[in-house]
Amino acid sequence: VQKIHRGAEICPHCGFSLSLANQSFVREETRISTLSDIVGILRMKDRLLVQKCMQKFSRRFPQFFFALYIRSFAREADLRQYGFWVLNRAVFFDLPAQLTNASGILLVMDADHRLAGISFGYALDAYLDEEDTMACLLKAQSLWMECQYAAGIIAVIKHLETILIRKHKMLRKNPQPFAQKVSPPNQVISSAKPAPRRVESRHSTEEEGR
Amino acid sequence: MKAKLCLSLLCCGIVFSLLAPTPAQEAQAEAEAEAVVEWEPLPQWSQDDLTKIEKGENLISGELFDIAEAQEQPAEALDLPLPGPEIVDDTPSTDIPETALAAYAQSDPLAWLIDPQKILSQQQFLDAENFLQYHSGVSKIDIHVYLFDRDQIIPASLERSALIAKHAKKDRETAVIFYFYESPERTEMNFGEATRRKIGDFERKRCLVSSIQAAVGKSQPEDQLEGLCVQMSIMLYRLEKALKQGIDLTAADTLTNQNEQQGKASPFAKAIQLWGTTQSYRLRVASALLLIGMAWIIFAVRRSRRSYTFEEFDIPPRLGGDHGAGVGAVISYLPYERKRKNSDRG
Repeated sequence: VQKIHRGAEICPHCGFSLSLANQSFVREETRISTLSDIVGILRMKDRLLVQKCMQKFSRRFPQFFFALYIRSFAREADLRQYGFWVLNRAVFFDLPAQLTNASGILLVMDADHRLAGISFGYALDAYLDEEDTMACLLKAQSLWMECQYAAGIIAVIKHLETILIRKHKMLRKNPQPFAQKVSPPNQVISSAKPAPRRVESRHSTEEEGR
Repeated sequence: MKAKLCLSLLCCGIVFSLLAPTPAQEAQAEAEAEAVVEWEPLPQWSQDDLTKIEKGENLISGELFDIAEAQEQPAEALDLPLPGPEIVDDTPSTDIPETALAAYAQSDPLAWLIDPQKILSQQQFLDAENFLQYHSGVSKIDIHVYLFDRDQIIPASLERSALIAKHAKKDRETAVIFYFYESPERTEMNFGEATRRKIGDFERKRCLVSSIQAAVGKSQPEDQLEGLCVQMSIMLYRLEKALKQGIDLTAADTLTNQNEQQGKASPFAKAIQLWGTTQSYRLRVASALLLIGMAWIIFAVRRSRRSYTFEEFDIPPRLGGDHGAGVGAVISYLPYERKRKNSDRG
């Protein structure tokens, strides 16, 4: 993943933007559920377990929601592009009225090519980064390899909870690093306190692109 | 063989015949014995006695009879009590003599043992007093003992409160015991006003019951008094130690009062009371661990049900996305065998 300027409208490396993604995925369904298993790899019992876990996540973090989208692609697609497009264009019909897609964490799984990726909205920009999402996916990787999909998804959600609780503690102690992370590129925060190491490593005026 | 036997018998006979005394020797020995023994002279009649005997008068008995008759008193002078069950009064008196009551009331405030009725022997009195004096030297709670007889009843005229107040001191605590000799179960114990406020009624009763049990276990009355004093001293030392540690000894009183008001003690109050009174450290440790475990469970449950709210920041859109441009990691979860096959094909 290359890092681009926070104010970039398009990727300076490949020219990717949402309009390009719209052209790529124009035929896709945009009205989906937060738990969409198009290919049906989850059994009913597993589905209930995952649903329960997602509800618990929503209860603990009422500002956010977790969405799962499992499908298969005819050819190997770029899950980052697809996740970005779904998060911006999809309408989650079972989402509470007070929440928007900006507060969502989307796990996209390609059942055919056995790929999984995580995308998240602007509300989580300050609290999540690529390392965190990688740690979540690694928790589930071995389970998914053994086709224990539900267990893997639940492991992802549990680890996300752990990370967000840790970030919440850090936010209460010192919110400055989080504000600095998402501040506009021309704004300089002179009185910023030294941030914790994990967060500081990702703090810059750059943001990840594709 | 027979010849040998006959020969030996013959020899023995000869030896015995040689050793046996001859008749001449026997006669000589008897003469010597008669010469050694001197017989006492026979009694001789005096001339007066002989005269009396001749006249037919008694020599001794008459005088003896005269003496007995002279000592004999007339029957009407005797005032013997008439025998009968109604006259015999075995029931002990419950009253305290007036002089003793006055002595109790006017006793020395510094005296450790007050026994104006002299119930104890001097040695017993000194032993008991020495012990009480020794106790006052090692403890800040003095013991004053008023001694009464077994069945005596303290009259209303002898006010206990006045006796207790008499022994009150500024810098020391006071315990006053009313002890009934040979009847330790009737023992009464009271603290001074200031001490009672600190220690409370529950602890006072504990002290008293424990001391009475120690005394009742003894068979001898003097041992009973000693046992009671020793046990009382031990219990008061414990109370003193608890007061030093800042333990509220009146807490049990409050609980007891509440329980009495409620009619029946609640299990929680009983547990608290047991916690305060138990001497077993194992029980205390187990209770503490149980409490910690329960607290941890409550904390864990509350933590799991807690909701987290995050601060919201204004973030300008990127890459044309209205809701988000945060792209995270992507992984492959292909089994190792398939990965290898794919790479081989490639």
